[in-house]
Amino acid sequence: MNRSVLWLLIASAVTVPAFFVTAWVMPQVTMLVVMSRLGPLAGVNRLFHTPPPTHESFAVVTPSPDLAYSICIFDLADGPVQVIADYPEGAYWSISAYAYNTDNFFVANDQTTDAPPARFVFGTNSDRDDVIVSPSRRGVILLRHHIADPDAIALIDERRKNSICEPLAE
Amino acid sequence: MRRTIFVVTAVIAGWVAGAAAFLWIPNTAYGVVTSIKNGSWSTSEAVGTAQAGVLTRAIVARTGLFALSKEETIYYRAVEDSDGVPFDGACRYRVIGDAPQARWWSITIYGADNYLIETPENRYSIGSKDVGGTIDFAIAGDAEGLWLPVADGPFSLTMRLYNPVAAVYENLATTPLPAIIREGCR
Repeated sequence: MNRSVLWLLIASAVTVPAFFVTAWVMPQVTMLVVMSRLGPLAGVNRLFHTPPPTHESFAVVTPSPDLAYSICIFDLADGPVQVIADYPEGAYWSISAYAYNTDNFFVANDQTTDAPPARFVFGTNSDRDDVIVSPSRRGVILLRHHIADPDAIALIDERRKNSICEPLAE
Repeated sequence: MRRTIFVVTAVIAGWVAGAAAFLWIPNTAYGVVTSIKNGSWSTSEAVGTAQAGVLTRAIVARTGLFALSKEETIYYRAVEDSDGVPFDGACRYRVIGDAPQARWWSITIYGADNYLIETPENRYSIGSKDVGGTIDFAIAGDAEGLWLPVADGPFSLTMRLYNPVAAVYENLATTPLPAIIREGCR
């Protein structure tokens, strides 16, 4: 067989698996990039409140300008992490948690939880009844506050400054 | 030795070609992996869930990271007008239709890089906070009334429906969505 044809056959045989391996690692790489961008500002196991996104917001693709986000990069290596969330009642609010491969493994909103402040505990096993089990040790928790009108952000800021994300004291 | 080099260079070339092929998939590929088409808009049952396949999860990571499940939020994305022509910032569009049935909704405009577009107005979205039961607004470089500003070049729209009614998330391909009509280009 012609050596050039053989070389192309070998290369072609690798191309398809390489395509899918790249697709498979893309979410993890994207999460790593997001954590590296936000990490210096947000820290780990603590809540970081961001202003409404603008054209100068590049931490995450396709941000919604109608939401005020609060972000907690979690690491469950040393045990569960709890989130206590405060938010204005009557407007949409949600908490969602994402595994390291970007899968959304938990979501609740203001209509499916008790009145604020609402408490959530995230861990890697279900030894405790109140633990929401994360499929990965590291991930991201997002709090979304709907900015229903330009004046809403002041009230959101007033309430969400009371919210916390922290390691759960045993 | 020459045989080893022969094989290694072929493997490296194949690997680079495979990785490059994925990275070169344009944003319009979202419509390919999302599988559900509704006029100009496309979405997926699996976005924001653990049931998402490798390609869907990868494309969503690039174009809509931190998505939610359809019961919480439906994400429809459009990269072309109602005639199937890709969006062009040099053109003027009109978005017309009934407001979707959801607790609240918004339509946001993004540049080709999937980030918000800088314009003199710096207005990025129109939604239930701006209109009642009927959607009718322009997307243009300049306009009057209710409009979304756009800069030259390709762009995309994302329509988010928060806490949609069951009739919407159970009928993603047929629920009424606004049409996006191209009215003219510079």
